[in-house]
Amino acid sequence: MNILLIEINPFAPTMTPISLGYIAAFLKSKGFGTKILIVGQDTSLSRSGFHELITRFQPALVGLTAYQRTMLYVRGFANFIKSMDNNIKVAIGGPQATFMPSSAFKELSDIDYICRSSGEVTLLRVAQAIKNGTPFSDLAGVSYKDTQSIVFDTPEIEGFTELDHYPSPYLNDIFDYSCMNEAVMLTSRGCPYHCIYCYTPQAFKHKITFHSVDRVMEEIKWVTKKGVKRLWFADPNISCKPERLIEIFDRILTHGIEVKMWVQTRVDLVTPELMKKMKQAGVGVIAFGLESASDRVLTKLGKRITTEQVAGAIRLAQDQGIEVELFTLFGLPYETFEDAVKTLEFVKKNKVKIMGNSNSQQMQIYFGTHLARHYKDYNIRPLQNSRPAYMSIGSQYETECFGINELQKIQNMWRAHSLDGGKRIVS
Amino acid sequence: MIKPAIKKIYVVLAKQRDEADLEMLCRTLSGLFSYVNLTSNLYLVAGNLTESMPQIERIQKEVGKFLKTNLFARLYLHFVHSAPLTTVKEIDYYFRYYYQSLKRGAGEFDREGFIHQEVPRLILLPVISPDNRAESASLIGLFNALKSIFMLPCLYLDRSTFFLAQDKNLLTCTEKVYFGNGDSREPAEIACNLFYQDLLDESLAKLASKAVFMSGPCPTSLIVSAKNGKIYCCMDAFRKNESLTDIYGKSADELMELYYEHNNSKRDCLGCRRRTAEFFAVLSPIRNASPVF
Repeated sequence: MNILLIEINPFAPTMTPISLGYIAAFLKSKGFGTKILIVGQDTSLSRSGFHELITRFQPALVGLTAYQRTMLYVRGFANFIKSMDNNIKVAIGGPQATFMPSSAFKELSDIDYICRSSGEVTLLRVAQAIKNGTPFSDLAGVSYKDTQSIVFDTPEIEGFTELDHYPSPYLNDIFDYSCMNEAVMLTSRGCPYHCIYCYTPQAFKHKITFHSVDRVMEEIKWVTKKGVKRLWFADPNISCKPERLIEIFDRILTHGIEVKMWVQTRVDLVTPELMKKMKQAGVGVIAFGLESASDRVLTKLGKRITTEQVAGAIRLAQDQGIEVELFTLFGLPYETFEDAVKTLEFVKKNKVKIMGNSNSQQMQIYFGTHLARHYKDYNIRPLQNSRPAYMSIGSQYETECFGINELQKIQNMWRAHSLDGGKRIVS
Repeated sequence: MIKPAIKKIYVVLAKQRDEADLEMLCRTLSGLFSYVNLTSNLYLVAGNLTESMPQIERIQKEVGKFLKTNLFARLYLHFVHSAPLTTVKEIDYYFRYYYQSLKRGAGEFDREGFIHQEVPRLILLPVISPDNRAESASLIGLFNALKSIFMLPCLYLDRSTFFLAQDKNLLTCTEKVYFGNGDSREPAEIACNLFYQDLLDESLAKLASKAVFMSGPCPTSLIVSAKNGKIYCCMDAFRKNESLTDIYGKSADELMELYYEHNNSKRDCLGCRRRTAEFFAVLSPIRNASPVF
């Protein structure tokens, strides 16, 4: 039985779809045929080409990664697949799906399953059910709509706490290395913190799980042997266990692996020693979450850092010659326009180039976040109350201090200072 | 291996067409949309907008139909035309009777984009080839008005209008500036120049990413001449009048079979890139004067 996994982002250059890679490797290890289709800005794919792909591969199940901004495209692909063969089952997963209300099924007529729990184990249960000819039996971690269009929510399913139990997408050659300039690595999952605007801590229940250092090194050695010279670590906080990270860098140095790395972490998780080691091992860029340069706003966000700590971490990195990127947001709860301007000034003052990930963006209110559940408590007013159930508030809101005009004004200020037009890569 | 998708279609509109020919053209284009990239560009190159408006409106309707039934597709619709925009009255007329009318046809995609918090799947880009008597201030007024209704204005400048590239305020409100090195206002000539500029951009991107395969074929495109219905597999073929087929005899599926058989990599692609470099080398002092790109 074949399973097609699709990652859609027509607004950005193609990146290695690491999460789908894990799911594909896991399903492959259980005997399923898998294929990943990435629909990025630079993908060459037509309606006819997609038709040809479905006809040739004949998937029994198609899984689509869903993000807020790609929901329209997810619906489009699902609709096209069903118009070709109504027997093909379609599942959505990813950040938008995890906490999407089940009532969304009403407007997602071509979607059969909404995956809620860990992708690998959830989709395996779905795949096995389809293979057994009972597509809606013995499921967990999903909501589904049966043949009578009745919606069911199944119990959660736990993923592995030892990440090494998941087969590696790299070591199992899930990806095509011929066109891979940069490998996306995922050495840990989840986040134990409590930032009120973020999806990750909620999705992972404030827990963090790790790959062993041995497994990480095996992957790094493999991808660099395949000619990849750049690694992009998608871990939300790569230095959550500093000693583990130092061991990874030590081993990279011991093995003489020459590779450029991008990492992201919290400002309170770096030390001079760690930063020095990062530089030695090949970290060229480190990204920190600043969000706001107002300590008052940071406290309200549950960020548990201070601007002084941010400035200190920036200095540590810059002293080592590591370029710094800062994630910032505007339109935050309790943020005044002056606070937002202060954030822009902070970035400039600390000599962080305003480009790429350091371009600011409006906060998005996603499903599952603390803010999505309690937005009224923060005096946030959604701009439209009749949006489709599969869409969260996203960027369509006003705060006490930020109306549409203020949001536009601060965005224009950031754009005016941007070196590359203001497009952020990581949302 | 999935066959590559068509990234750009250039339609060179003719001054007069009867209804049957227009119907045939629309049918062909409608069939071809299944072969275009999920994000693609359609250039409608007209002589003047007054004469070509019915064709543009009709083609835009076909585009709308395709996008409505294929939610995964996005299209940039560029309509290229000359315009005698010298007086406030003329500008107002163009805005009210042409641009706003075309924009109304795209309204449902704006609403859809708003609901989904994303840019609309149909973006309209008027490419204006101004009269040599046009003043920057008039164009700036028009461009700001276009932007206010989410149309992205572009300029096509030739020898007689290069002087407009000196106005930084005008360039600031222009999405993209195209250059032609003659002063011909013939749609076929303008289509060639648009193509060369796109090819230049693609070549520069390749150079920036240190890609060494500069001899490779250009981005997959098709050129359709509404004058005689002929279809060409690339601009080199169009210049040499070596058509692949025409809109009359074959369905879009048959046409595309021919296209893939023909394989445009067999053409003189390196020659085309060389001509592009030569074309813009002549213009380099003007391009250097412009901050946009």
